Amino acid sequence: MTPTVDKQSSLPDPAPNGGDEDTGLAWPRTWRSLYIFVGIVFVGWVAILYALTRTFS
Amino acid sequence: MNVYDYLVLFGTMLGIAGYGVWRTRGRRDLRTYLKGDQGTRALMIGLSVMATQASAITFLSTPGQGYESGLGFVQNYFGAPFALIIIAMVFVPIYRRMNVYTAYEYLGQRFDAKTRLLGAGLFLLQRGLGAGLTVYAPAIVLSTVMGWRLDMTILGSGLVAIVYTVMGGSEAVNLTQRYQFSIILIGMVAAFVVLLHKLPAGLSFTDSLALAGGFHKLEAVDFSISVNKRYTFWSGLLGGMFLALAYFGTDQSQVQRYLSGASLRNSRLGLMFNALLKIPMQFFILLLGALLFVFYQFELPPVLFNSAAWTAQVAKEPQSPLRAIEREFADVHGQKKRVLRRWIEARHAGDSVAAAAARSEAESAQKRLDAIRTEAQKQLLAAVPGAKGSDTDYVFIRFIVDYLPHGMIGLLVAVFFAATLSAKSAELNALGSTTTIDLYRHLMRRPVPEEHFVAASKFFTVMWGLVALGFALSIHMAENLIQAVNILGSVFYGVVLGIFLTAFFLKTVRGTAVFWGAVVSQCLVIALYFTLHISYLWYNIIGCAACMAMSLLLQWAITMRGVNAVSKMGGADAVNDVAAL
Repeated sequence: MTPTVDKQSSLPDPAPNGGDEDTGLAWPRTWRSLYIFVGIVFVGWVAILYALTRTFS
Repeated sequence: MNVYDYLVLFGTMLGIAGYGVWRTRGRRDLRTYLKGDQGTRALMIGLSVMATQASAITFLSTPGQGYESGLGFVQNYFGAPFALIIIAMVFVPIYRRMNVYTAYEYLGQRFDAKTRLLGAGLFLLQRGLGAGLTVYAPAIVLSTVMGWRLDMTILGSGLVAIVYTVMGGSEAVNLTQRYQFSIILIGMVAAFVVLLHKLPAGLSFTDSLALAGGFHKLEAVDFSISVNKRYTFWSGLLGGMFLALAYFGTDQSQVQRYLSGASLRNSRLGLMFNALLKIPMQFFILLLGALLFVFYQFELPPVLFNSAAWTAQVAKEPQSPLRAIEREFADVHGQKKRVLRRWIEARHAGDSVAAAAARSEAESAQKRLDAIRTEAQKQLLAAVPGAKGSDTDYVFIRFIVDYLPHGMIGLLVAVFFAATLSAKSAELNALGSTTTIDLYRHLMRRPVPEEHFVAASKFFTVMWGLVALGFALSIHMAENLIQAVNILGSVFYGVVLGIFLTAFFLKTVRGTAVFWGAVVSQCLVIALYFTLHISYLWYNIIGCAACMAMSLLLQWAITMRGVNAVSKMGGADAVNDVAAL
């Protein structure tokens, strides 16, 4: 029986960086800050929609 | 529609398609044909990803959802920003580093051929049917309202998409999508502005919101934890996140868009563009529907928005009971209009008691109107068997045809066709690529030149285009169209996502375990869909979780069986055999 190569060993890491690399934008400069910014915008939208729901119901 | 409308419609549609073919003429190699020129900038990727998802159904059906049920549908998209962040962090770097043409090619490298074929097969099945719906959905609505032949409308939009997708490949799809989406944005904003302009004099924007809210059309967020409610914050955040993860992360029609990026950075930024704009875009379209509801409080709407069968029946039978329904509907609508004016005056005067009384009266009148509409649908179905009962998909197009000036009608119809073409071309491009790369090239044993695969890809794109057209010509939809598409996706997407998440995060699981885990999980999801009555978004989580858990369990069973065999047989070869499973 022939030994087989472990395919997994040649595969890349699922999370190749910690988010500190440059986005190339003036702001936000790192990917981590961009993801946090997207999260904050989401919270802002939910707050606006909730306020709309409460104000006009 | 008059000659100006047709000029705008055909000018924009054929102009954009022709430009796409002209700009991409002479592209011969497989990489450029399937992945574009690999130089696409972030904004273009963002627009392309958005245009692929936002088909004509989004722009036709979503305002109807807003009109009928309010803003609650926006919650469906709450999980999308988080899914897109995960895809940008985890999925895209892997796809780009492994330099794959399709997402399923990665499964072949991570697991084995049968898992790759399963992933590609589920995609082809689901997206092949979805491509039929992409063409059928706008065609049924437009043909009914415009009086066009349904088959000709389907063939017209379908064949244009097939021609330029086959001729220009992925680059033509990216290129045309940016112009098509520009037309869509211009048209939708113009319709919104005209609608605001047509609201009655003296009714401010805040008054309009108050009226819409008074009829529960602005209930955008519902934090209740009921699994039976179709749209809640939690089903949208969790189920919607899994749906978006599966759609944007594993559906080749989307993967192909961001793999055309000039760099990892461009692909990621394109996705973040969507993460920021998806919720506001859906909110804007739903708000348009809620404001249409306000508009029709002061303008008499048709009893049923899908009025072609109704009008024909009334014209055929002058003594039809439908006429009595029309008169009663107009009477009640007139009464309600007077009550609403009192309500607004009371609001302006700050008389909360009078405002509350008028609101209660208006709500009663609305219930009577709803009852009349239900009765009208029954009577119409009795008189014309097979007439479509639900009419929410017709609300926006009815407004366009009845109230927009000529030229703008053509522009808005062009919006629907542009959305059809952009979504359809991306789907065909992905179906052709997947069939070529994951089936044909994979199964091809002899060496052949690259041009052979370009020709094969063109052939498979045409083939899928014809399959989609055939499906579109033979289906009859009864439910709200955008829901039908999401339900179809939710039944299949969860399991496909489960395969990919297993590949990324469960390093011990191998091909055989994930393959059978996925097969069993897909059967389970289909069985649950026909037996449980829960929001369809939950099937994304169920399918994904079942696939991952089943794969782990099977891997454990296989490993245990192997360990037992090793202990009986002994030897390094047996250990290697176990590891290979």
